[in-house]
Amino acid sequence: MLLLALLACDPDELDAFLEVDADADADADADSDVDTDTDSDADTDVGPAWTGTVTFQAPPPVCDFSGCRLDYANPRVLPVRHHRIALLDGQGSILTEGFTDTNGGFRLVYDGPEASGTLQVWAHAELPGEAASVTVTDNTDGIDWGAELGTIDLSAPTGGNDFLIEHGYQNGGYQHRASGPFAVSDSVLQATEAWLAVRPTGSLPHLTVFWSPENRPESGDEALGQIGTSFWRESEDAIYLLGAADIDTDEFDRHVMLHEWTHSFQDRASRSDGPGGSHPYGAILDPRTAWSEGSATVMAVMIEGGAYIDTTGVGQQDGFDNDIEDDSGAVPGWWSERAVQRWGKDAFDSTNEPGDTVSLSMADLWGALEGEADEPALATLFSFANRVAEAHPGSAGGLDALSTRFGLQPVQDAFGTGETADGGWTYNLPVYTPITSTPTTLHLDGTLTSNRLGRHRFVRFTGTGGTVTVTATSQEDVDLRLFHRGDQLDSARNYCTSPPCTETVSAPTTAGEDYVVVVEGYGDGADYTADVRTN
Amino acid sequence: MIFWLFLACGGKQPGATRVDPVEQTEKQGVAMRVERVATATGSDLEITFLGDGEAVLLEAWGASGLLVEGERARWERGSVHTGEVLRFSVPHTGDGDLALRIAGRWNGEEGEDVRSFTVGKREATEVPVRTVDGEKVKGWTATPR
Repeated sequence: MLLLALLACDPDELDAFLEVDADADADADADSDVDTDTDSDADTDVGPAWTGTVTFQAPPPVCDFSGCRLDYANPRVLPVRHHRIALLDGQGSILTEGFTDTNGGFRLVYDGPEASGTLQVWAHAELPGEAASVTVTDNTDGIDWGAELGTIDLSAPTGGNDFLIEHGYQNGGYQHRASGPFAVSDSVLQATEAWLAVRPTGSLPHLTVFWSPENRPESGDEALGQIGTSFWRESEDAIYLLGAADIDTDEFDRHVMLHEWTHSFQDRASRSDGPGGSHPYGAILDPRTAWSEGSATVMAVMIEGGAYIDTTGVGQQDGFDNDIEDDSGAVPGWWSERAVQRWGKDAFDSTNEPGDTVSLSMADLWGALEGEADEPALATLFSFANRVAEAHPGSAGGLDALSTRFGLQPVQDAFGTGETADGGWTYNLPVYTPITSTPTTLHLDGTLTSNRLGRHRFVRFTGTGGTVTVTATSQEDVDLRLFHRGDQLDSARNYCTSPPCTETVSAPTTAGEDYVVVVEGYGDGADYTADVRTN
Repeated sequence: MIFWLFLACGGKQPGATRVDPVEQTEKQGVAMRVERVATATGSDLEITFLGDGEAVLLEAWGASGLLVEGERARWERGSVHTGEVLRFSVPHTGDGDLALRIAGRWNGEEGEDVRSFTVGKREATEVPVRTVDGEKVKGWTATPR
């Protein structure tokens, strides 16, 4: 009778079980492959066992005096942790399967008639306790990535079935790309585990990363790999990642992957109000975009360390780095992605250079990010800095100094009250305009790209306990979105071709609570107005 | 990218409601617009800078089989200004990807942007595909240690 032991039932139990076996492997003692499991569910995992490890090569991105590149000659060898692994028969049917442990070790039990089997591992990882899972899939054909590890003799249990998934770069080019998908899934594990280190009971929804060797920086059909750039798309719960060799690959650019992962974290366990889109170097951005993009880079650097590196070019032998610890060249202000990067890094890193006296912890950083989720104001550097200051009153002086250093007034509240820097246009202040039943005139610049400072305006009011209506009237097309603690309560988004254009939003309110309305401008003029009031 | 196309193509339609764009993040890049026109001998490229830059370097090369003639570095300039347009031709043969890299210092920040264009019939990377219990999985073979 054929006996199959399926180990994949519970990654929690499996992990504990497999870690025991990994230790046995470390002893390099073939006899240790004898089942040492003490799990009560013994009937599912007894029998002859085959053990080993799976590792993969990850050429690190490096920068020095000669430039930036992937260092193929000195790859990191990392364990394929918590990944799905199976033993297959000659027809591709699964004989037994499980998950690798935290060291890349596996233990597969099989007691059947097959003389040999093929080991298969998937670029699909599940953390114990269902804390998180990730699958790396090719967006050009929808097929999940994996690697065939090799054939093993099933006539007698063996240990030391160790396999290395190589990067495949030889003689000036890729002969294959085997380890790429595993570098991607490992980056997701790295980021998630950094969060779980301070939130042991946390969990995140499943994440898909679409990576392909065809993914290139060209706009067009994503099914052909024309993805434009690496990005996070909330509507799909998916990250798309560049992979086109000799143009721009990101599977080994861990900072890039961690940056995009942070966007996913913000949308799932924190908050991002940024409208997305392009955010060129030095741009004067909508503060929501500056915060979203800048904080994602902060997290990438805090998790991985070093300077942010993105390699590109022929043979992945080019690229650039951004040392966000370096203040030179920073464009100051609450609209600056780089100012957000430097403020965030200095507040939470342990390196204190002149002007930086603050060294909060990673736990503090994660906590502040999570706290943004129900923040009354929109998620900007103001809301984040204010939350950090409130949580760490002893560091208030140092945090104020950071704000001053990066072009902000000492932060008074989450709404940027008291800010004096206007980003080059006087109408950009105040950051939030309080509104009443008396119309307030706002100025908007329709010549700007949609996520630049001045294209839209923020207004705020305090809840009355009753229904509040907000009306905007303009000679140009404006839309309204009404928010309470990040939840959009109402929106008015009608096209208008016959001015005056009027939009109205309304919602029941809680007395004393702060509400925010984003006045979105779709006019063309360089300086047009909208009158906004409550009813 | 889809986000911006949506806005650009939306137009104003009386009585209609503006549809929420597909929101997505992007890698940081250079403020510019790049357009390519295929010619008999290669590609004509037009770059419109949408921001000021210093120490600007532009490189062009071929990938995925496309053979580009000439040096990779195509253009260097001490400074460029918003609205400035750069036009140049890149001769090439074969099919594949035409890649561009624009590096420089933009409003005080160093950075680069890489774009590519598909030329002709581009060959996709061949990847082994297996069927496991009826489900496809793709990838290469690892090495025993």
